Amino acid sequence: MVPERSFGFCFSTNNPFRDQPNVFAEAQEKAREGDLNTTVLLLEAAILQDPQDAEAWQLLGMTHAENENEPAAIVSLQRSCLELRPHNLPALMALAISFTNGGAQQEACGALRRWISHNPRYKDLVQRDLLQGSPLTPRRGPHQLQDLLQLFQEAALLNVDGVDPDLQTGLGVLYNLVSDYDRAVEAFSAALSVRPQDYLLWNRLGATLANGNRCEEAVEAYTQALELQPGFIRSRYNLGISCINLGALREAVSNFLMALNQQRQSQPCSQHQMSDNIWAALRIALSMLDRTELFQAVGTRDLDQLMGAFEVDDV
Amino acid sequence: METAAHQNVEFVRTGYGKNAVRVLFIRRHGRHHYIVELKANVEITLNSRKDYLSGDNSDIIPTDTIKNTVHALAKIKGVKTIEQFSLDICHHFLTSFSHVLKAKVYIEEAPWRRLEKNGVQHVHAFIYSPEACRFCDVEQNLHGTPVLHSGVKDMKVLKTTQSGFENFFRDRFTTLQDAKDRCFCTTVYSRWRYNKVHGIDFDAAWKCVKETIIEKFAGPYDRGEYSPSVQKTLYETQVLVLERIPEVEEIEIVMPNQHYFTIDMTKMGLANNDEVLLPLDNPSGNITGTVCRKQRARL
Repeated sequence: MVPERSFGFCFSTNNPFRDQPNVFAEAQEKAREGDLNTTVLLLEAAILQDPQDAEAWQLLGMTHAENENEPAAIVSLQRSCLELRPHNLPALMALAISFTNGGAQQEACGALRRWISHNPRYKDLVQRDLLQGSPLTPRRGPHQLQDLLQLFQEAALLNVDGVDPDLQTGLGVLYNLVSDYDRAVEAFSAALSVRPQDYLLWNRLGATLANGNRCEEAVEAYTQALELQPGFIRSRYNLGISCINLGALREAVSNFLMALNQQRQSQPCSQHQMSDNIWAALRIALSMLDRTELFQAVGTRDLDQLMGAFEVDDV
Repeated sequence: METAAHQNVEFVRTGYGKNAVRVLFIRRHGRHHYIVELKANVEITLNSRKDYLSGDNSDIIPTDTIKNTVHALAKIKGVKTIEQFSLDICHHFLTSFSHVLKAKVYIEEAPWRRLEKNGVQHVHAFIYSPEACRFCDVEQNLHGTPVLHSGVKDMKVLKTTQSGFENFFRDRFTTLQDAKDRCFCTTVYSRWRYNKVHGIDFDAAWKCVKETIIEKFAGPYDRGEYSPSVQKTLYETQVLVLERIPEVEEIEIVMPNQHYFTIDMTKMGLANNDEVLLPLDNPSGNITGTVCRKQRARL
């Protein structure tokens, strides 16, 4: 089974939706339902039909992120979507977030700077800022982050008649990068006040709380996200991690096993299966539970054995 | 053997292989030669135990073959780093046969250092420099992802001051006195696990860990850095390694405390001001610690 390579990226072969019409619309529907595996296949089909479809690439990137597959998310968003549509704001924001998760500070700043420079609401502010500062290019190093944060803060002050949830998301990401978790929480909370049903925002809030050691509040936020979207793999993974930090190790294992089980309910032709980091987190939880006899099952990815050991049902 | 005795026994684990397979690998770029000399232990686990149970050898890949395989793979795949080579060996045994369940490889690299004078490197001459031993190990199950560790050992360092040990717990068996200024000598052992196996510069990572250990031990060159305990220095080293190398997920360090005691010369009418010390091989203190990267939540 040789994977097709499109844009240097492995697509599933024998895609059953390859020649189906209206795959993009169906992908959006499946994404809403939380069936991430099918969403990915439908989007791959859409892209095989039209490799220039920027929207499909964008949704594919975001779906990979939701499905806790950061490397695939970055490739989809960066190589293809930005090459096709360089000023795609949602893609730029998603990319900044993916970079932040991977610790790639400079790249995250780059994406956020592009986001705000091309945002019609703030491009004037950015122009003004560029003209006032002496260097023509943004400063590198530790100042780059501070300068960008200041720029976003100034932009937030412009919004006298209401909160811009996307700008607040950018602020939240920047505060995460400088480890000012309390301010990041404020930013994401502000965004949520405008979009209370946005499960991605609930997860971002939760992750910020978790990284700021506010574990119980993090769990509440993840629970909100998962109530809105039960198929949200990333949030379930995050929930598992917070369970570990709170010492609720069995709950952690259950969450990881559930997430992995959801991931493997994919079509047999799918190239994308389970996330390595969910397996890694599961191993840590098992180690803390002293269930080292199950490491072998982790090594061979025997999900059935593990689910049996913890009485997790195959739903 | 009695059949009844068989019924009272079950397998915990099995494995067999060849230890201490040595090769010297030379890569020639014109007149410039590169070498890696290594010593490998290879162990595999088969999916049947009939060799142990009934003396049926039909599944056993002879350890002689394992040795030959290591030689052949060095030729076929080349040896760039011991980490990559151990991954290649595991991959071979798990994919070339249908009955190998698990493969484990441990490799030590011989510490050859290229001769250099006045900034000029010799094209093909080396000197054995055992100031630190580089090793690695890989463990991989069939259909599983490899778990890769690298390590440094037998790195002996000593400093004559900027080390103390005081305000420790005392009970009726404690006779140790507080020390504000003592020698600190240790032979460092460290082993760390990577969170992925592709796209890592293993040479750079190993060099970074080795240098970080030395950096934290010695401190700034003009005045050193005070160590209130081996534990503190060990922990700070680990934190720094995790910060510097994102691909390292977990690191273990073991630092024995190899004691030097000031010789009491008062009976000889001499006042020894910590100038002449007695190296004491044993017993030695042994300080250990393992830390791993805290799992971060994903936005």
